[in-house]
Amino acid sequence: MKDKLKKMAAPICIVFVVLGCIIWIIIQNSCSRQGNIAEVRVSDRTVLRLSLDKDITREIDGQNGIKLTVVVSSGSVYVEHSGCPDKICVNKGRISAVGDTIVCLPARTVVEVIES
Amino acid sequence: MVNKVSRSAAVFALMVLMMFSGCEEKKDMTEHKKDVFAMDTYMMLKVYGENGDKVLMRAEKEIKELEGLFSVTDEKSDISRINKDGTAQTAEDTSNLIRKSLEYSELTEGALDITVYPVLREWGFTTGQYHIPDDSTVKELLKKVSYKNITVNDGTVTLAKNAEIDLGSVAKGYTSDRLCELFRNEGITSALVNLGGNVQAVGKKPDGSMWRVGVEDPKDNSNIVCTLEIEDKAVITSGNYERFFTGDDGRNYWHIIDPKTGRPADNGLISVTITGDSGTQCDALSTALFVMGTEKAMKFLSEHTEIDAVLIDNDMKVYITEGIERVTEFSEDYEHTVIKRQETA
Ligand SMILES: [Zn+2]
Repeated sequence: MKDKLKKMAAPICIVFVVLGCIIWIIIQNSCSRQGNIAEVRVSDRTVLRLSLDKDITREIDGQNGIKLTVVVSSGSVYVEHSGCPDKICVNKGRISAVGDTIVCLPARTVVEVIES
Repeated sequence: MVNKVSRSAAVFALMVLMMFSGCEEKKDMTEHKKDVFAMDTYMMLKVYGENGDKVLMRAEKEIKELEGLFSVTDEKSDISRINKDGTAQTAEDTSNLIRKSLEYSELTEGALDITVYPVLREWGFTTGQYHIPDDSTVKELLKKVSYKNITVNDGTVTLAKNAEIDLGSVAKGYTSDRLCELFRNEGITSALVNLGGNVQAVGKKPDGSMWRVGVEDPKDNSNIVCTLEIEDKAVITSGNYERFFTGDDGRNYWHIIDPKTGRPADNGLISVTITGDSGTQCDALSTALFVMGTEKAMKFLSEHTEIDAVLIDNDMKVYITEGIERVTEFSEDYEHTVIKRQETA
């Protein structure tokens, strides 16, 4: 009987460790949920939040009377048009990674990909 | 048997509970961020923890104050007054930064020189009126260019030979140093500032991992050459792709001027990233090593172990110092060579 108990101890431990790992992974995932968002800020004020899961086109009023067109398509975001003189924002192209930004200095406008 | 199982179950339940509490603790390090538009660039400040918003307000004030001292366009700034009158009593930050930049000029044998300003202006880099100046104009302007024309006596800065100065090559690095100092004094243990591509970190990320800073491909900024992992360090890049214009001759001219020739520095390197403890140091040395070019920069790095670097040359060859190789993740598309350090005595 005692021998049997000893034999059982190891498998039981393994089962608990595996269970623990699975739960740990689930918790980790719930801590940093995926599903990214494009946040648009003008002069440090958040004016718009767009889910990258849904294609959409929106017009933004930047500073100094500059209008920008922000487009979300196929999971990334870009500035399609801008009334700024340098077009650096338009030339930046598409972004989709968390922390990536598109900046329009003349319009004081920032598009940043953030985690929800 | 039953006893043992129930005991194990209790331990297990406790473990799960601890994991959940760990999850909640993470959420308490709230992120606070601020966009600041100053010094002709975009700055993003991120701090974590309590009081974040209050600290960020103070940080913005600090940036505006430093901009007010260092600006070359604001007539009331310390730099404008020095340039106009040839001598001026300045704020401590101004004289400190000028003194530091003179030290880096000495250290790099003039590869960094804040008196290159009149040449930079002639090329149009400070005004946006880009053009290629003729050789005689450049030659004439170069007579005024030498860091040896600057003297700092306590707070008084004096210029000889009609020299003019501009802190563009060091101001952002100094500003990020000051911001990180402010954050630490306010008890912030995790923060990241990005001043137009100049990155500096306080501590690690709130989750305890290192900050990751990518070094861009200078020929295609959508690609990352390598990613540096940092803690309490600055990462600053000088590249010829940052600000340039295409001349009537179809060639590109960039804003990093070689103080010896008065022309855009073209000595083999197209991107220089420096990482180290001080933003001012990284800013000054990224410019200086860009000017030095491949060979001299590599020699400098072999002798100066206080900084680490990633150099990229014309042929897209990547050079990296021994020290940070370990904490760097490379993209497979780029080959790299390690710069060996000399044994320090
Ligand atoms: Zn723009």
